[in-house]
Amino acid sequence: MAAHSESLVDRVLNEFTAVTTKPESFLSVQTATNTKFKTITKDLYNFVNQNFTLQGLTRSLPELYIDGFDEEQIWQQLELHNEPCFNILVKNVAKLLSGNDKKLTFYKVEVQADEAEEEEENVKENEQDKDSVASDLSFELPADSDNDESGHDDDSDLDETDDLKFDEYKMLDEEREERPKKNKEQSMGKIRKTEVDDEFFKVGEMEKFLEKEEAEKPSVNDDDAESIDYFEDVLSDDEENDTAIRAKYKDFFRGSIPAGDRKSTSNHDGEDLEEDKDDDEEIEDEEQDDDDAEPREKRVKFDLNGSESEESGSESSIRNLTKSDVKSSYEQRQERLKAKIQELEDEAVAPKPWQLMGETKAELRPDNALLEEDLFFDHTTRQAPVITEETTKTLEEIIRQRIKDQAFDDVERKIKPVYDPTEYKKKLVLDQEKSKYSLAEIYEQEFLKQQEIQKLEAKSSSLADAANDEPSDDQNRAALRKRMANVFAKLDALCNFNYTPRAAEPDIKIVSNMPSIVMEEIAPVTVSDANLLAPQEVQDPTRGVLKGKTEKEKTDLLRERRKKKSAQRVRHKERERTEKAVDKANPGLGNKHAKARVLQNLQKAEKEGTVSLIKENRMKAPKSSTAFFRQLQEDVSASVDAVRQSKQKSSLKNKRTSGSQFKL
Amino acid sequence: MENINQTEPRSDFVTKPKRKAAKRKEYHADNLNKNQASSMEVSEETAVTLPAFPPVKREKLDSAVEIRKIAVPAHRYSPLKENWMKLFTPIVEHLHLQIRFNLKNRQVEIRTCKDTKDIANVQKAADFVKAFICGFEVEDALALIRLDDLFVDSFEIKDVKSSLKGDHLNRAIGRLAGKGGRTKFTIENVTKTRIVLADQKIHILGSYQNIQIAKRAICNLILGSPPSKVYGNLRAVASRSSDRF
Repeated sequence: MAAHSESLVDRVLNEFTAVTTKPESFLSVQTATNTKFKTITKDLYNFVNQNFTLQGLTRSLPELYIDGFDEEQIWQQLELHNEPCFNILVKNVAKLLSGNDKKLTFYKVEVQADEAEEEEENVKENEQDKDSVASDLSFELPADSDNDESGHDDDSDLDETDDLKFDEYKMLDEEREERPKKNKEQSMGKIRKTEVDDEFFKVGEMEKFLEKEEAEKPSVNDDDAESIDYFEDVLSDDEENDTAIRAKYKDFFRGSIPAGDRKSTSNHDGEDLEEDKDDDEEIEDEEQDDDDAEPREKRVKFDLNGSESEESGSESSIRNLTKSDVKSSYEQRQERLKAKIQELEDEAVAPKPWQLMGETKAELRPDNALLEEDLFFDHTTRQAPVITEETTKTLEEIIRQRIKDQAFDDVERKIKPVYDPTEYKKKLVLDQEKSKYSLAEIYEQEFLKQQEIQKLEAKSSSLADAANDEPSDDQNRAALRKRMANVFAKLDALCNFNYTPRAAEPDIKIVSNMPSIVMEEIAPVTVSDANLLAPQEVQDPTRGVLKGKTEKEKTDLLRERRKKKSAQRVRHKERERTEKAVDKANPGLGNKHAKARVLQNLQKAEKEGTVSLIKENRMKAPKSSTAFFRQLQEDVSASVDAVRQSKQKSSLKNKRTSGSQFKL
Repeated sequence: MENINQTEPRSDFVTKPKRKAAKRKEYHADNLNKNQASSMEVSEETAVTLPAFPPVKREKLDSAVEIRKIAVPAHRYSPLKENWMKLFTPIVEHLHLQIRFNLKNRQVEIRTCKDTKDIANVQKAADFVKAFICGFEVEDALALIRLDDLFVDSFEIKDVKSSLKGDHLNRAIGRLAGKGGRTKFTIENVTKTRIVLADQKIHILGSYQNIQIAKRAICNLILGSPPSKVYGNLRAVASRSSDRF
């Protein structure tokens, strides 16, 4: 069956490669290759279905039907098979991995069989790759999760991944010891393959080596917990637990470092780990195991070449140990110290490298050594900007934004501002050409200009026009305006100028051309008698000798009397004259003089007794009803009398002076 | 004075009225004889002849006709001929005067007539023609007729600086004119005057103020200032004068 499968696979492979040698041919539709592909898949499918049937696959077709079927339909057939197949297979694998009772190891006893199985597996994998890519990826996940789970369950206190792994391996180791060897796939020389294997590390190899080491069991316990290596780097608190930082290539791999050094370094690291582990208090049960396991682990070297060198290595190590060349810890420490001292001395004595030699010419340096050096100097010049895509992008963004905003940095024309008005005056241009106009024309132009100005002034002063821009050339309009003005003037006169504003009268302001100090000053600036009136201006000069009152004689007194009287007479005459003239103008009681005269007469008469005035009681309101009615009666009778008098017109009869006549 | 016109009374012969020139000679001779007769001790003074101004005829005194006569030098003869119509027209039409060119005397004569409204026009016309004869153009001289206040002022370079002789004088004239007449035109334009440079004579036509300004500028140029300086002063003065008006 194997051979048969082999041949089938070979055939399939060959055909496949033959068809796909020239991938460029697939640019065009290739119907021949299409049928080839279909037949290949059909064969494979049939083969797999017949020989490797899984439990639970109910829906898959017994064989792949390609005749007259579309690509989509073929794909669907395959999917029909693969989907459940995939689920089942995943479940199986999970079961196998998680199962603690079962042992899942492959042993390399029967190479051919194994290879066949590998191939089968490969084929299966390939098939599945061909059919569905996604399944391959997801295939790994359960394996990883299983490994991690196993690790986590056992040791939850340690967080570091490396420690985790070590514990994992340890656990696996233990498990392996406990479980009995189960099925055909297990063999001593076979290295187990897991998904975590890669170029550098294989779990199976590690397990093998661990087993060997265990078997040897070197009794030497290298170091005491209390010994402190003085040349060891002191770890900070943070780093104490992180062994990953201090783990080195040498710890894991043989080949680059000679055997002696390896051992020394491994011893170093082993001590540190031991110290770290000693700090953990919770894991007391496993401490012993740790002490045993970890130095051994650190001394584990996984060989890439194969298992034979490992075996030889382990044998040689066993041989070395048995020779009892085992040095004491003190000796080893001394050795190390000496080595280090030697190193340092060599370094100190040796000529310094050119980097530390101060000024070095090119001859002292190796070629192009400076290029590899990181030199430190001040750049005095400004570095040219590195133009990357980003910078151009930002620049273009800015440009675009500016264009949108219309915010350009245009240069604006600057105008020198004129501060001094005399600068304008200087601009009088001196025309050096013969003037085009003759003198007469120049004066003519000037004259016309002046006329225009005068016209404008005349127009602006006229109040009749509302809009002064009107052309006043129109004579009709002027005549019309004149007549309108006439009419309006007459109307205003008729309304007694009620609707016209008062005519503007010129204010007469008397301006005396005197120094303002004289006008403004309140206090008299100068006090002089010159401003005063002269005595002759106050009074006429008295002629003759001045006499006092007691000195005056009779003649003097009479003279004075006569003077006085004459003056009086003059005055009286004046007054009479004016009154006469006034009386002529306003006869009767029309003028004030007449009125005054009459009043005077009345008063005189009253004084003499011929007239008695009625006291005006009319203003007083009568207090009693009798008084009121009495007044009323008197008023009525008086009015009746007046009316009768006027009707009768007899003045002689009424010469009787009664009070009613004198009522004013 | 003896009445020369009175002829000696003769019986038959009627004296022919003498020609003017003959009369003048006679007059001269009479005078000389008289002088010689009066004073024997005569020095060289008598050799100097007084100008002969015979007394004016009565008709001429009585008549209301005003006459002006303006002599024309030879170099202005042809320009006068060319511009005769332009001269003639305003005088006759606007001023209502009579004008003629006396070919024998080479004089322009202007006379009033019945149509003349204003007797002052004669003087105006005379000034107008005189300005043209000085060297001004007809259009410029026409301003004299149109405006009352314009005058013509003439002076010589020697009046300003008498020590200029020969090359210095020529250079002064050159300074006045400027390259292509630029300086002269500048002064004319700024001061609103017209200037005629006739070798050593300078005539300025314009209003009184402007004549003064132009004269000052010209004198400064004669005295030796560079034109740029004169321009500066001109500008200052001209702006002030323009503001005033």
